[in-house]
Amino acid sequence: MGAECIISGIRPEIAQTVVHLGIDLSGITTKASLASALQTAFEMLQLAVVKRKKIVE
Amino acid sequence: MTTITNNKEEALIVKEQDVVPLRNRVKEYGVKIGMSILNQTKLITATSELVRNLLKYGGGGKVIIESVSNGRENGVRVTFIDNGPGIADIELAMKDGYSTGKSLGLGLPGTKRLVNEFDIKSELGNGTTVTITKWKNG
Amino acid sequence: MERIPILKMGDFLLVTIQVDLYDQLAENLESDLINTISKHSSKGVLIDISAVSIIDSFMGRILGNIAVMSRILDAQTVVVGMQPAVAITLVELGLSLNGVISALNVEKGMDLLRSKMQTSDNEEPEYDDDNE
Repeated sequence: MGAECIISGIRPEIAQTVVHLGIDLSGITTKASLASALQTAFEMLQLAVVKRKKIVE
Repeated sequence: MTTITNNKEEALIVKEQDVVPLRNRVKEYGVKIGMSILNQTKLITATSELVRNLLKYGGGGKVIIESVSNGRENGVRVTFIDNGPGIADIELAMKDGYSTGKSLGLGLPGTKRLVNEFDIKSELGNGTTVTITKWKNG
Repeated sequence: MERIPILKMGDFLLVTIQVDLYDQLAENLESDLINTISKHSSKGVLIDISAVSIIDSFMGRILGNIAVMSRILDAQTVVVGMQPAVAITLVELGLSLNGVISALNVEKGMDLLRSKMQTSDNEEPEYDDDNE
């Protein structure tokens, strides 16, 4: 569908169950926190977040 | 070729905690005949695999450790006896990659490669007996 | 119930196995490690097996599980100090331990972990998003 998927915030129990069930997640990027997931997404899109400069007259 | 038994002992395996002492006893037998570290490791690893089967599928059982000799060299023989459900198709169980449950199966083909002699007798409803022998320089 | 201690060293977790591993202990380690990685958002796990003289198919599978589970939680696992007899026996057993990265010793293992971290994320975000 033209969209890359990043999963974040996976609970440890889920990680264990996924492996015990033999499910292969190797094709999906998984990140520990929402912040690092966003960071990865920005890197993929080659975007940078910059603070706006205050314009002082 | 007849095998002479020099020393023999039995251990009852009923719970997981019985495994570590058993491994240590088998190791002692190996050390006593001067087995190399590599061969000891193979023997004890094979023991670990088979005793797991004993507990997991056989409902516990008995293990006999013997110090043996075939006239040319010394070795250690370990026999695993259970009164569990038995193995329906031994040939299938001995095939690499075969498994009935979630795990990787009985690990029999791999275990067989670690030892010099491997014998298995099993009857549905009548339990299983596995005997392995590792010669000192085997 | 015996449990193998897990030490936290900044972004890494260090586990040194110095007792005979049996099934329940290995399972507890898998569980404890995954929970600890999640709790601290650890980036790397170093498992020192230099004192382990027997690794059978069950243990081998646990190590493999730990590597994959950690990866899902965005952490890298390195196993260090595998004894030669253990390595040879594992190969003959037919256990490939795919996905388990190994190093010779703790120092090399740490170097490996650090270099793997540099190739993935760059900097940590400045603000703390932990809301436990």
